[in-house]
Amino acid sequence: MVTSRWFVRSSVLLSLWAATFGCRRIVSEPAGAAPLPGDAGLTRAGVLGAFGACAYDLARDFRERAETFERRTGALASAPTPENLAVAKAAWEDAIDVWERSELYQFGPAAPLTSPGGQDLRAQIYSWPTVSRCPLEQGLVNRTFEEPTFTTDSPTNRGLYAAEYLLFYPGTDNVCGAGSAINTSGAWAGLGTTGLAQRKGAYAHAIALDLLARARTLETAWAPTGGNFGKELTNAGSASGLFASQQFAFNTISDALFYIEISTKDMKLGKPSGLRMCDTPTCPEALESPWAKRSKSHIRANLVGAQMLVFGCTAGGNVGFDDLLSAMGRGDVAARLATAFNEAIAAVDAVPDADLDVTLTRDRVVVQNLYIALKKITDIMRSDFVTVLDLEIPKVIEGDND
Amino acid sequence: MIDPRARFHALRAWLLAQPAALARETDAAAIAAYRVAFGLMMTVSAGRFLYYGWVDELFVKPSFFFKYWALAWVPVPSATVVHGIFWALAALGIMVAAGLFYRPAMVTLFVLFAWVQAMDVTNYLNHYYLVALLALLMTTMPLGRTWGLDGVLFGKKRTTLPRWCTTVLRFQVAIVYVFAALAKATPDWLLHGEPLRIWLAARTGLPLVGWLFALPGAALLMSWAGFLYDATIWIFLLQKRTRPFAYVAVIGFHAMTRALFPIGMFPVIMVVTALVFFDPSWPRAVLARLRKGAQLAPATPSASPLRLRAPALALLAAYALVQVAVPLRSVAYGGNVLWHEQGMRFSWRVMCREKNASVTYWIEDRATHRTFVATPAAYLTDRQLREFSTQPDLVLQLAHHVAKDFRKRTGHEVSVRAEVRASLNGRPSVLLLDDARDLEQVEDSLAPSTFVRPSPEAPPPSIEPVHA
Repeated sequence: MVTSRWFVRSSVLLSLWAATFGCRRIVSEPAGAAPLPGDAGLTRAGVLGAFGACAYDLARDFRERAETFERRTGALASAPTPENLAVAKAAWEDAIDVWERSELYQFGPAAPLTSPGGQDLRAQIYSWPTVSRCPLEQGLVNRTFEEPTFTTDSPTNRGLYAAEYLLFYPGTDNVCGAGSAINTSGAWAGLGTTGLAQRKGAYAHAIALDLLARARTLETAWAPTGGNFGKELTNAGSASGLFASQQFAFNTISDALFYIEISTKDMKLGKPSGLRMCDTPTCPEALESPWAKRSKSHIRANLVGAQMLVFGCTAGGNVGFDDLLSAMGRGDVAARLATAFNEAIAAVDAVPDADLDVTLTRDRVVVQNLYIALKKITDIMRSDFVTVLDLEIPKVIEGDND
Repeated sequence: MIDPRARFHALRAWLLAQPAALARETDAAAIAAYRVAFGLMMTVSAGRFLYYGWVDELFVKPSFFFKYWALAWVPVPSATVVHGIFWALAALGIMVAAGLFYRPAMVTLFVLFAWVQAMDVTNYLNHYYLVALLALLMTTMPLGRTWGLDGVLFGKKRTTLPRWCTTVLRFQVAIVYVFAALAKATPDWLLHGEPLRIWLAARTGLPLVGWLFALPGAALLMSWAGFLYDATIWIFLLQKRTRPFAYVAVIGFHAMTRALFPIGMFPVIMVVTALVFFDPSWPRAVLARLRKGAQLAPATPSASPLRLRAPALALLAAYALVQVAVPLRSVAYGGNVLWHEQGMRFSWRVMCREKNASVTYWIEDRATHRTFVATPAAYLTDRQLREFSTQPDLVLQLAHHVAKDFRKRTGHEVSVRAEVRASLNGRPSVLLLDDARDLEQVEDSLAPSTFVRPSPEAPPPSIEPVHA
């Protein structure tokens, strides 16, 4: 009887302790005082801050390239010579090389309006895969790019994708169909080769001006002297008005990282290689860069961007998810990710052709192997990575984890 | 030394006395109060689904629904009908709370709620299952005439109910706790503190308490506390002397889980349902205190007491047996239930695992020998994707659907292999299924699965928290 009473009392006390012990030492010990195993000064806030630093660095880099692109397309608009076109093309390539790395940073101001701090800037800068050629051609004829409403026109008519078509597509045809007004009126045909080149140059410059404005907005949103979005990440869970918890901020970054799976692996490689949603042996029309022929380099840039998130960048002190994993004692997951990334980048570099459209014609298996190489990364991300870091992909409604 | 024969006779006498004991009338106040709380919980829960857009997310947006074994016939109605069901559940909750047309309202509520739950396996949650069981049990009880409008409208007010009404509800809640404790009696939980170690490591930034989660041993300590809580709380709730303390623990425990994890209505349901352990007259005492000593009329035994006839008693016994047997079925399957998941559902394994997986289907066209990849995201919503990927029977179901889809599009027979890499409680990911197996040739059944690979045997690697 005594034993039973003792057991009852002890268990009640233990249950009460289990429910309340978290509240007892709050007053006596401030957060951050206790030394932690496996923690060499790294904090979760520090990792989040590093993501912000990298994003700001990329935004600054992109703004600089957008400025160059604007100058070069300005020259092209003034004098649509082959030389000026070549220079403008090179400036576009410089700009998109940075942007393809930034694709992985679709959190904060670059993200859709529904995301924390989202300003939808990514869609304004690069609308792929939402693209449409005919409206561009209609815009060329109708000079919509000269209208004050151009900056609020559909993102598919602006941004880097539209610029790619204007600068790199050499043909004089259009895809609007014979019944389209630009064809029935004879306006398209009336432009002629020279007129079309002039119009394309002017349109490209209008796009470049809009891009530069967006790039400046993005940079300002990240700049410590501007919107300082990085502070929202660093202050997640405490003084941030956007991220109620650090975990929410990590989930937001992680969601952005999954671009490498959804867009790079499945859309940029899976479909063109014929592995996914393709009824013909290959679907080269699904490649990302049909005119500039930079689909391969875009994939590489995406991988580099993802690497920057996982392994850090110079501006962020080379702090990334890998440091968090290592500090948690799971450097093995970071090491496996490093190996998978290195193998995937090596596989891209090993493709001998200038772009994947040639490779698809020559040997589609090479592209399929690229898909498999990227899959090794995303397999780790979807299993070990999200498990160890307790990330929710995607955000779930509620559950009791069963 | 007790004579076994005497012990047998004592047991026999106890058993024989049970029908009369269970039929004995007791104060209905507590169970009437629970009816009110249950009805309101249902209304709030249905309202949350409607308000947050979960009805569309869970029942309208998906193009594919995962079916429970033997329940593939359960239809998923149109968006309008599903919305109507949730509005009806909200209204029925109010009717149940008010005791208005209680019996038909409760039966309809149970049927509609069970229907909703049966539409898609990925919506399965233990607490929804518990609510369905409680609703089923409450359909058998004449609760509308106690502090309800049925008593006002139709007369025959009741102030007492047979004891079995309270007993079965207590039994049901105790079952939840007992099996939740048994589910935690694993090396992962008790020796390695997983998955709490992972979850707490991700929450060191929580205000006030986050730093505690970074302390050495915190995860293991909380794992043991959780285990002991589940194993013993129902005992303490049953005993009058410990009940108030135990209830404080219930509130504290569930408040903490609510603060830490997105588990929706679960804490509320458990806190409210634990009231069934209180004295049958507790609402009278509370109301008397609120009215500063004015006593309510005491419960008087009903003029038409409900008898517990043999068939009803047998049904109750059968129900109890099923409630014990169903969670235990995982034992028959052997292996690690958290890995193969056979016997996972309906067994109160709440918050027992952190498991994530990457799923890729490899499809071979048998006519052309061309290989395709099908990513589950093409067929599922984000939420379904998250839930299905770690459950082999659901991976199998989607494999069949993918095969059917390809057959329809190409007119050719296909084979489907699933490459599933899963990580359980932080272990390095390994293949969950036999990736060489053509899942088109595998049928889902209650027999032990032959396409699931053995669980990794190594303990989960230790995870250290990082400061916020």
